[in-house]
Amino acid sequence: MKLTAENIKFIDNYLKNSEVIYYDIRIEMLDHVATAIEQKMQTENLDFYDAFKSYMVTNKKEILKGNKEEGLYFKEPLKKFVLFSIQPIQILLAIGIFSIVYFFTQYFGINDFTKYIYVIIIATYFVFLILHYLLTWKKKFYYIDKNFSIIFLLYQLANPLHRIANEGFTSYVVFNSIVLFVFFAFLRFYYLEMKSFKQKNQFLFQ
Amino acid sequence: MKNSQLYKGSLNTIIMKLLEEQGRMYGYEITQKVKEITKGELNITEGALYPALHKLEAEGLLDVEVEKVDNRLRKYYKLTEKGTTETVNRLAELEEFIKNMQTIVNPKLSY
Repeated sequence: MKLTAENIKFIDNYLKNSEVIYYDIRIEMLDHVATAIEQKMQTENLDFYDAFKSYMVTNKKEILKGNKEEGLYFKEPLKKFVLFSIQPIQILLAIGIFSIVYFFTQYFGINDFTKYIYVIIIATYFVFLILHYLLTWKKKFYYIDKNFSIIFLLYQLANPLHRIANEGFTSYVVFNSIVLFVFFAFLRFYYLEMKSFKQKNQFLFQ
Repeated sequence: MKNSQLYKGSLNTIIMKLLEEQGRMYGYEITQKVKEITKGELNITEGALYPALHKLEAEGLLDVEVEKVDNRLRKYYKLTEKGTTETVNRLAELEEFIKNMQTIVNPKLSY
């Protein structure tokens, strides 16, 4: 027995209300629940609502577990970002950034250059936010949020290191080059990841 | 199966083995197939299955195909080329593990 579009909408709303906010996770859960209910309706001769209730009583906790476990998993995008950062094109970017920071610091001096660097970082951060907002304002995707969440981790790592930066010319140049490199590499990483996600999952954006 | 913890470390290999045999499968189908093969002894829960599938996909071992089936979208998983090679390795590892367990649990049979 096949479920109607209305039944499917009912399950989708139920999952949404159970805080399965990510669309890419929800479509899979929805199919799982719908298939199980169809089977229940057939084997136990139940109508949709009775089969739904019966299924949820025993399986709700387990089915929603997938949602919670997914939320904690960011090790894999971080690993992907590290591997991305050591590609030849990123190494070239790193050398370019280091050279710019080195010559500008020599020209402007440590204190003056600092404000330009932070303006660049803040501007970059806003580009991320706008991009992220545009991509997820209609539907939230776990894959996109997972990649975006690394930015907060990178910020947490950069913050304590900031104190070391003002200890001298070398530490200043090295620290600021790293910070700028990580931000620009991340911008590129995020853009490429999102592009490939969109290409691979066009059905999610229809 | 009362102690499903014993299967936990082999879940990925079980999934890969099934996909190697079946070509492509969706989540619910995997749980039912395992139940059928083990005559209800092993029950893969949704909470364990989907994170495992997503992890294998992220590692590039599985590929995904999505189709519209009966008013909803269905995600099918299949092994990538890398996944097919890795399945052979993981099955060999699992067989080795089973052999070692056999030696420990029942030393007489291993001679």
